[in-house]
Order: sequence, then C-alpha cells, then structure tokens
Amino acid sequence: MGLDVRGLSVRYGAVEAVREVALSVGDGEVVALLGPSGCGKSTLLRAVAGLERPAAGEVRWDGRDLARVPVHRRGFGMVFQDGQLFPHRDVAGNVEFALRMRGVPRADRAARVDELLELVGLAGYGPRRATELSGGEAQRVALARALAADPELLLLDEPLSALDRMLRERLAVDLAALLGRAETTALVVTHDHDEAFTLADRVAVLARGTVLQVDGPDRLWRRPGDDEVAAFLGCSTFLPAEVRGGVATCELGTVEVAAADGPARLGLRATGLRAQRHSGTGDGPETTGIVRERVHRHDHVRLVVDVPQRGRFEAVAHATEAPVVGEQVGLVLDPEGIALVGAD
Amino acid sequence: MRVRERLPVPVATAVVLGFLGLFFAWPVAAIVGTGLRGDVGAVLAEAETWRLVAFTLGQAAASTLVALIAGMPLAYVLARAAIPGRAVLRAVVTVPFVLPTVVVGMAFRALFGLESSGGVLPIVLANAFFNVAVVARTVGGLWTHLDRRVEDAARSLGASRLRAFTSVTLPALLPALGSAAAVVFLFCSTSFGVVLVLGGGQYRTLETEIYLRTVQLLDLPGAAALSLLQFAAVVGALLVASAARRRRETALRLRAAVDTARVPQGGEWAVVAAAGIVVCGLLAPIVGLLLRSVSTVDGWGFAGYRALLGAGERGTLEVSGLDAALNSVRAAADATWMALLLGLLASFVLVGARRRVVAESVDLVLMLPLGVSAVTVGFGYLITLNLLPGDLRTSPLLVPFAQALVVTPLVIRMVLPVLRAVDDRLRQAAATLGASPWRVRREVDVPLAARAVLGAAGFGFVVALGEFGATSFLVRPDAPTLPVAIARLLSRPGALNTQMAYAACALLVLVTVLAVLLVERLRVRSDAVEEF
Repeated sequence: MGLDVRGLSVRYGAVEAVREVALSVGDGEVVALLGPSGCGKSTLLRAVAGLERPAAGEVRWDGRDLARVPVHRRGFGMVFQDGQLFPHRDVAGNVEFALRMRGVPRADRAARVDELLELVGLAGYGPRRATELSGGEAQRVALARALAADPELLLLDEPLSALDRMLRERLAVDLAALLGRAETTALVVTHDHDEAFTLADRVAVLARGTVLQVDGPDRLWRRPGDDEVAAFLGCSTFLPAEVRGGVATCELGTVEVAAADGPARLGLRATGLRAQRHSGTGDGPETTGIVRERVHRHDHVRLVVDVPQRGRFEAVAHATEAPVVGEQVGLVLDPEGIALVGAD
Repeated sequence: MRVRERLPVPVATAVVLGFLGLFFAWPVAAIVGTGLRGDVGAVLAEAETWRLVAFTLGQAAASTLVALIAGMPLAYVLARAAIPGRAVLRAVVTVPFVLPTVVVGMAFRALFGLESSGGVLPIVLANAFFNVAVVARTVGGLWTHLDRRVEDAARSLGASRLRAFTSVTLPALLPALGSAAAVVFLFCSTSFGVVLVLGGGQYRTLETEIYLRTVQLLDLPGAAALSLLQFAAVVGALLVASAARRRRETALRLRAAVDTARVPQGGEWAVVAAAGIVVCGLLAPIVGLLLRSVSTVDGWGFAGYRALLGAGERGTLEVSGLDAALNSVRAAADATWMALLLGLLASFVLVGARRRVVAESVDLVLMLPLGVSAVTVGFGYLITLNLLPGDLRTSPLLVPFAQALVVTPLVIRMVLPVLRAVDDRLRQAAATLGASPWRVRREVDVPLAARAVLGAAGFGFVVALGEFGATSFLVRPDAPTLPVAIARLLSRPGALNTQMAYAACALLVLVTVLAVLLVERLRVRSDAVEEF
C-alpha cells in the first residue's frame, strides 16, 4: 500500500509552493523528488512528514488519511540536509532518541544503537560528541537516528548535498545499498540527478510545485516527457528527426534510436555530439564546424562548435586529442548522449 | 501540524500579561491617570519642569556618549583581540552593570571625596560606569559574529586598517551601536540611586524629583505629571532601540562566533591599550569603595563591618544591618524565581510567535518595565494595590513583585536570543522522531537554554538584590533591604553610619562579583547574538 499523496497543495501566503501533486510510494520502494531549487520538493516532503499544513489534498499511509495525525505520531523517520543532530547529546544519545520517546528500556536501546552504528559504518562512535563529527559522519548518525525506531517511511531532505563531491558520491552508493538491504520505503529529495538515479527506484521530476514526470531512472533519462524535463536532465539542443528502421535522421546526421518509424524529437546532451579532428579529405563525418570555445572536464573536453547555417552546438572530444579553438572538426551523433523527448 | 501550534500558548501568554497588567500596567496607568486629572498644564508651564527635563536628558546624553566612547575599545577586545585574560575582562566589564545603583553612587562619592555636595561630572561618570558593559557586550556580541573576511576583502582592495574599520566594520556595527545607545540613554535618563546619592540635592532629574515630590512634598499630581513626561521619553527610546535591533537581525548575514579573534597587530595595540585604560577606570571606583570601607577615622579597621551587626548610630535603622542583608536575600530569591517563571514563559511564547509584528510588539511591551522608572512603578503600587483584596501593600511579597518586574526583562534578554538561535529544524527533527510538542521543549529547548537560564538566575538575583528605586517606595521601615538601609544610613549624620554604609556596599560588591563570575563560567557558547 505505502504512501499515497493526492491533489496536495501547500501555500506560503500568496505563493503556492506545491500545486495539486499526486504521488505514490509503494512498500519497500525508494522514490526521489528531483528538481531545481525552489521547485517545492522539500515542501512536499515536509508536508508528508506533517511539518507543513496542506492547503488542499491529502496524504494517506496504507489508505489512512494522515491529516489529523501530528508529526510525532506518524512514525516516519526524517533526515535533514545538515543532520540537525542534537548538539547536547552524544552520538548514542542522538541515535536512541526515537527509542526513548517510545519508552524502550535502556538495555534494548543500547543494543539497537550498536546495531545501527554498525549498519552505518560508525561502530564504536556512541560516546563521541555530536558536535565533533565530520559532515559525512554527522549524516550517517542522522540516518541511524532516523532508522532507529524502524520508521514505516524514511524521508530524506537533500541528505548528501551539504557534503563535498567525493564524499557525496561515495555516500550515495552506501546509502543506496543500505536502503536496498533494509527494504526501506523512502522518499528522497535531491537536486542532483546522479544522486536521484543512484538511490531511487523511481524518480519524480518537479518544477514550479508540480510533478512533471514520474519514471524509473533509465526511462526518465532516455525518454523525458517534455523539453523541460529533458533540459533539466542535461539536454541542451533539441532537434526534429525522422525515424526509419531504428535510425533517426536529423540536420546533424543520423543516429540509432529505439523508436518506431515516424517523426521524433531528439534531445542532445553535450555527450550526444562527438567532435573529431577533421582530416580535410572527404572521408570524415558529413557535418563539420569550427571550435569556438574549449573547456577541460575531468575525463573529456567540452567544446562549443559553430556549424555553418545550423548554429552553435555543445560537443565533447577525447581529452587526449582535443581540437583547439579555431580548428575545424567533424561532428558525429552518439546514441549514448541522446534522449527521445516526449515520444512513445 | 506544527510543533508550536499545539502548545497552550494562550495560557502562558495570559499568565505573563496578567502579571504585567496587574503589577505594571495598572499602577503606571493609575499614575498617568492621576497626572492627567491633576493640573498637568500648570506643571508643564513651570520653567522648573523644563530645567529638570533639560538636565535629565543632558546628563543622559553626556553619559551615553562617555559610555559609547569607553565601551568601543572593550567591544573590540572582547570580540576580536586574541589576548590572554579575555574571560576575566568580560567579568570585570560586567560587574558595574549589576552593581546596586546606591553602591555605585557611594563608590563615586568615595572616589571624588564628596561627602555632602554633589557634582555633574560624578553623575555623568557614574552613569557611564554602569553602562559601559551594555555597550561593550551588545556591540562586542555583534562584532564577534561579523564575518572577518569582509574586512580582509576591503584590505586587499587597498583600504588601510582604519579605513577598513570606518567603511566596512563600523557601518555593520551601527545597529548594535544604535540599540546600545538607546538602551543606555534610557537607563541614564531614569537612573535614580546614582543621582540621589551624587546629586546632593542640587542636581535633580525627573526620576529623583518624582521621588522627592511624592515622599517629601506629598505633591502627588505634580509627581504624576512628571511621570507622564518620563513615560513618553521612555517609550520613544525603546522604539528606537527596537528598530535598531530589528535592523541588526535582518540586515546582516551573521557567522557563528568561531575564531574571529586574532592577535592584534600594529595600531590595534593602541585600541587594546585604550581598553586597558577603561578597565582601570572601571576598577578604580570599586577598589576605592573597598578601601574606603576599611579606612576609619582611626586608620584601617573593620569598625563599619562590625557595626553591621547593630542598627547604626543612635538606632538609625529599626533593624540590624545583618537583618537588612537577610531581608535583601529573601526578597531577591523570591523575585528571582518569579522573574524566571515569567521570563521563561514569555521567552517560550516569543520564540514560538511566527508573526514578526506580534513577536516584536510583545517584546517591546516586556521591555517597558526595564525602562519605566522604578520610582513610578513603586509609586503606582501605593495608589492601586490597596484596591485588591487582602491588601497586598502589607504583604512581604510586594517588594519581590516589584523587583521581579525589573528582573524579568533581563531574563528575557538573556534567554530569548539563545532560544532564537536554536534551529527550528532541530525541534522538527525531535518531532519526527516521536517527541510530542511538550517533549520537544523538554528535550531540545530546555537543555540548550539551561546555562543561559542559570546565568539569568544569577544576574537576576544580584539585580534584585541591588534594586533600589521601587524597593525604597515599597519596603516597610521595619524590614528594609540592604540598599535601602544604606540610603538611610547616609541620610543621617554620624561617622559610624557612613562607615557602616560603606561596609554594606562592600558586601554587596562581593556578592555581585561572585554572581558575575558564576554567570561567566556558565556562559553559553552558541550562535546567539548577545544583547541586553
């Protein structure tokens, strides 16, 4: 059964932060709320937790309306962006908090705390002061604290975004494994699509308070519902195309796609267009252009290429043989970086 | 449902407002009413009235200026200079603020060698002495939270150290300076004990004149008219202070107070030296007082202290000095628990108030007792409380009630910023973990504010111990508190009486120093911006 949100709206004065959102999270499923900052995803999460009062609509758990159930009786665990550990309690005191609220005896609490700290990879951290933890450790403790009382639903509000990049990527993988192992039902808010795709079974893309699309990560990445979703997921160029026998033809050339014959709309990410040094003879790619800008990324070079009569496009090239500004390059479409927008 | 909406806020609000209404608004309103019924016009037409107003405001302005000038170097050292002994410095700066006014008056008397005549300079210096702490702590409190890198940016852009201060730091500190100046001005213009002791009858302010007309001339309408005048000035100063506070909270992006202090360089040592001079200036009257208390006509001795066991020369007091001290302790203890109860209830209501306008107006109303002259309040009690059943005027709780009124705003000012600095999401985290709204208060707010509350209790106790204005009105002659006894001893001739008064002052100083040391030990390290 799980979580069922229907027609939910939340207002802050005249601003409607969340507008008639419908969303469901099945038992044991992890759903990510993905969107740019200010899209209402955190507000939606807080409304599910009971921290915001909805202007309209309902939040149901296992079919039961939660409108009259206060925050502390919902039995949902929540992890905040920056941990929000209780500074006056040690790590164990933080983790056992929910158990104490439920009147669990001390000995049982201690055993459960050890078990949870083990689970989040912080065995033996119990007596440490909450204020002396690093950002990553604090988030792990916050997670252990939220999991302590076996919440029916775990709510995570940008759980990793306060951390630096390396740590964030590693923790996202750890968190995904942990959520999977515990078969936790969870709702995760994030603005980072890598994080959403790492953690979630399904991803809901939000903008301006409404849900634009809910799909599995792979489908969302390859078949975004419209230009807006596609643009949020990295597509910078949109081209009309004609599909014949699994090959789409557009103004920049041809590419293999998994779509039925007929008209289609291609969304190109930078990686959808690969630039190669142009030999000048006739056997290179048909489309050529002049490199206008060049930026190094960690494992490739990103270019802006001027194609005569077509305009400017983002493209990528291998770091080892990257063309320089002013050089002529040939452009080839790469199916890995191309999404089919809106089509079915 | 939000955590705070389920709290019985109305009950807490009713208790606080009920107390304020009964023991503050009603007496003050009664005074104002009496003033309006009397011939206010005649009082206002007297040139003498305006001379009083001019002197009151003039000495307050001068005192405020001196306090600001003396307080700034201290604020700098407290906030920015990584030098040893800063904790001691904080205590030294704080002691004068909580010293009983009568004691400060006596200290300056000893320092200037005045035994009967008064002077303007001692009055101004004594008022400034009191309030240097307000400037140093309010400005220093904000300064600690200013991002030092903004100054560094200005320096890297070519500004000299002085230029960086005047163009970057000073404007950022203006809200705190404004707030401190308004509060200091308020305290100085309603200062009672100091002017009474040092004015020597020649120099009078509205506050002492109200007292004089009530107690000695029995001119109640005249006193009420003057109270009305003073009330208007107080509300004006409080509005300025509140506006300044609002700007401080909104206009700045504050940083947690970590490591903004570093070892002074170059010209900064001059500021440290200036702060040192100010500290000597603050210590001088206190040391002078202590020395005076052991110097008798026959050389050094403890005659004054021994005399405290008796009732003074020719029975000046109706009880012994020791009994007066015990009265003081009892009244102050009662006042402290009352003020804690009221102050904590009010703080919890204020921190929960989501509408800014509501929070700010309640805040302002709660600050009023700090500004409205204690003499006015005490005077108001005399004409209202006999209307209550059980005639409170003879109750031993009457004095604590009045003292609690003065102490409560201090409790709020010390506890509320700490509670406000608690991230609301911490409370929400507790709620999602299963804590009911009351449990959230107990598990989050109470532990985090505990040290501030203990500190407020310590401060509140010494302030109540030294309260003079309202107490002198309300106390029964057969049960004086120590400050009242001191004033009485001074008003009667006799070397032993004077000696005894100085000894009593020295005892109050010792108690105050102990309390301040305790409070400093308990000081909370939090993101709260300190204010008075």
